[in-house]
Amino acid sequence: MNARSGRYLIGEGFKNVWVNRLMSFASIGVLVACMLIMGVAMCLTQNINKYLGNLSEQDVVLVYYSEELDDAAAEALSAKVGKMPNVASVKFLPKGPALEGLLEGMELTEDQRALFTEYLEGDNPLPNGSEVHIKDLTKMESTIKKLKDVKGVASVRYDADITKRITDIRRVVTVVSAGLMILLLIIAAVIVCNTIRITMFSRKLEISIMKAVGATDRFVRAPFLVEGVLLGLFAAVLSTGLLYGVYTVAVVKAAEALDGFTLVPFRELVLPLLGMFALIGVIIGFLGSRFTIAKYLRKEGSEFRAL
Amino acid sequence: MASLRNDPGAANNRTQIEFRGVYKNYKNGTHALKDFNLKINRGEFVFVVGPSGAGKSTFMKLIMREEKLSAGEITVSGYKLSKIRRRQIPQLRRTMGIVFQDFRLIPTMTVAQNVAFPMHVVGASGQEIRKRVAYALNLVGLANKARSMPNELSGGEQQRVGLARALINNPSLIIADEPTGNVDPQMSYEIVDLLTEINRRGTTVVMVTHEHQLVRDFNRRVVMIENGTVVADNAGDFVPPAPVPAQEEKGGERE
Ligand SMILES: Nc1ncnc2c1ncn2[C@@H]1O[C@H](COP(=O)(O)OP(=O)(O)OP(=O)(O)O)[C@@H](O)[C@H]1O
Ligand SMILES: [Mg+2]
Repeated sequence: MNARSGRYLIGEGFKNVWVNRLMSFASIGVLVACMLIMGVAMCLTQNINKYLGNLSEQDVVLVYYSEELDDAAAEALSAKVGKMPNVASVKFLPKGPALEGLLEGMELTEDQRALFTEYLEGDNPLPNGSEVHIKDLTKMESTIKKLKDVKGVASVRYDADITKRITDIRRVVTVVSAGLMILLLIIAAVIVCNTIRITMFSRKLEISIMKAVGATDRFVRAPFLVEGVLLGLFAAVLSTGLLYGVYTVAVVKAAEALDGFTLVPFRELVLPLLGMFALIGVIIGFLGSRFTIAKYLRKEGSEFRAL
Repeated sequence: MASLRNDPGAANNRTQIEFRGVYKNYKNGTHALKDFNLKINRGEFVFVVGPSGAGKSTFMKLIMREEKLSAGEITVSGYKLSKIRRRQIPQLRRTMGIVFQDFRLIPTMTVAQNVAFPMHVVGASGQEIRKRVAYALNLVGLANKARSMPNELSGGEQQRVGLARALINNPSLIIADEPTGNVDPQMSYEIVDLLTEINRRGTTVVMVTHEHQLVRDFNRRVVMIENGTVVADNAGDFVPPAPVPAQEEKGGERE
């Protein structure tokens, strides 16, 4: 097979998509249906993740420093904590303002307040602390442990319950959507293989003739593979377009229904979606054609008529 | 032209086709060929005749290795068919041009594309292909049908497309199964004239036919098959127009 026949065979692949347009249409339809369901699942996952991300931003870990550190040392340590892995941001909470805030919240009279201030002068019982935001909540436990191990950290306080719940929900969402995708992928592969098999069956005469005039297996197979890949790509582009339409409507509806929460914009999803669809389409198209044609390539002459 | 006269067994270079003690049993139990012996040299023109079901098409299909032999040995263009490898089969088929009894044109391709197909298979250039296809279609008188689809043609026209396809790669051997089966007598003579001309240029021609008048008028070697075996062969007999009438009274042939 040389470059010339390569061009010819690719051309034949394109031509076959059109010549067998009814079957092409059926294959693309099946692929698009599966891709759309997968796409919806992926969009949902992305949005749930974004929503959970919003929730966890309100979730804060409080780190208190040992009383042996003076204010400056505590502030330096706080900066150091901010550079630790999995720490998104840190805000130093000095003990002076913290005491004032505390007293303010106690609704004291002027006299009582003056008394407290005088009494506690120079001997503030509150520790210096930091407000720490965590990047990946699934690694919360180990990060907390590391924070506790930092020299000069006296205690770490956080709401274990809410972080655990968010992590759990995320895990469930990931597992369910991954499972759904795999299931759909298998269904799509089976249906597409069947569609291709019907196509091949209707073209067994063509295959037998090609072989009879001296075409090699590779030569017979090539246009079918090109055809399979093309159908996969068409389906990928079509699915992305359709999903864009559906998603645009969903964004508007979501803005009305969930106040305050905006969906992930489609432009952020389009590349991963298109990539996923194209990959699935090309792989299924290629392998589907390859496996189904193998059976026909082994046959000769009258065996074709017996199929 | 990408000529692919790939002849591995160059030792016996004069022999184009040789059947030695060949048996062919189909899966359903039909014994289509029994102890079949025949040798055809390069450059010969051979008519193969015999009643329906005698095994003529089976003989052709064994030559192109579309069917496997059950016993014996067949040598074609230097390939020993009992031992041929799967990957060598396309090479074997490229040494020959085949005209099928049932035409076997690809229904989704135009006449010109069908005729061009074997040239694409051997990787010829677009320019070569266009020139050669135009020439071949002209030769079989179908230049004006290049863009037609096979199902728009009459049986005889389809048969001639098959002939053009068989000629296209300048093969060293042409096997034609009833190439005149669907055409009027006038056209039959034209087709055999054409095959004769191709043979004159050195191509071996094996042609199956039912038409006794045709065989009589073209004074060539005639092999008669009955019940799966060769019952008459005038190989070596030059000129005699006489051996043919015997075919009309079945079984009247002597060894
Ligand atoms: N694929 C097959 N499977 C089983 N039997 C077959 C097959 N092809 C041919 N036969 C049988 O083998 C015998 C020889 O058939 P073949 O086609 O070679 O005859 P033929 O001489 O070409 O006849 P015709 O002149 O009618 O074309 C017949 O009895 C036929 O029924
Ligand atoms: Mg026959």
